[in-house]
Amino acid sequence: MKSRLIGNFRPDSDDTEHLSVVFSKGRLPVKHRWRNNGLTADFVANYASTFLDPRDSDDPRKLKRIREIKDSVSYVANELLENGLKYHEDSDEDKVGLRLRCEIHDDGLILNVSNCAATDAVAALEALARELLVRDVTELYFEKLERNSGESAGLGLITMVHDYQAQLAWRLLLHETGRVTVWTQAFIALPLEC
Amino acid sequence: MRVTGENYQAEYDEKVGTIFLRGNFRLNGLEEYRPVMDALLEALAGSNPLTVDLMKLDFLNSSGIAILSKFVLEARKSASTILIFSANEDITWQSKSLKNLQRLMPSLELNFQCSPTTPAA
Repeated sequence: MKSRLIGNFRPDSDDTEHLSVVFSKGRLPVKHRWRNNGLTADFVANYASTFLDPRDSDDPRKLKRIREIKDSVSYVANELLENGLKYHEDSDEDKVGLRLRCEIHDDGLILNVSNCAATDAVAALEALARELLVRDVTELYFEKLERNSGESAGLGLITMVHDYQAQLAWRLLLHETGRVTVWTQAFIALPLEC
Repeated sequence: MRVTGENYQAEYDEKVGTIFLRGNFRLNGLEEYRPVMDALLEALAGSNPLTVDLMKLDFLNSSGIAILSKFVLEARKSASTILIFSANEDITWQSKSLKNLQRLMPSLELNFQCSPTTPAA
């Protein structure tokens, strides 16, 4: 199996504080679980905020900053899950359906969502990923909005970078059957200062 | 006109020239957002000036942002349209993403206010 990395993909670090959520294949197809995205994103944001909680501070600016980080984690996690679900196809190569992992580091949070997808869907994702890494993201964002047909493909990734300063990276694992396991990773830096 | 879902609501009140969007919009793509878009376009056709009240819109996913920007592109087609967004600076997505819509339509009036009660951290 071939593997490709796009951007600065950070490998899992098992000795780091982390949370994993796994949506296994089972009673319902993964695509029928859309409402779980928001519940999961809010849960992960709450989990992550535990590590930001300044129990010794009542500085309103710091509390506001923590709320912003928590909301940013919720937005980014929700978009990663929505994208993962949109392009996910249950397959025999990948025994697990959709996975989300959140790692807590001193300098930031890593959110990683993996899913299995068809090669065609991955080709479009890869083209956008490479565009995001080399082009001016503001220009890309407004091009996307001006061309807006109401479809949002790609806008989730662009807003993560443009509005939330997330650093994105991908790992693609190409199976011999033509399917691809995709890891989409967002790093959110954590300067707690305003 | 009123559109309601599990955790969201869009309501156009013609008497006050305002469409209120409230709750958490996490719908899946254009098709699911179509009733919301229809309500926005009905409000645009029915009121000038039109206020879009976002004070209680806690969450909007990127599909929702796509719909809102598509609505702004519709609104700017008429030079006489006066469009006002009443926004909440305590809601993170609004403080991060709404200014982008103003760039699409420079005459868009973006009024940020604090929420009467700050949401819990």
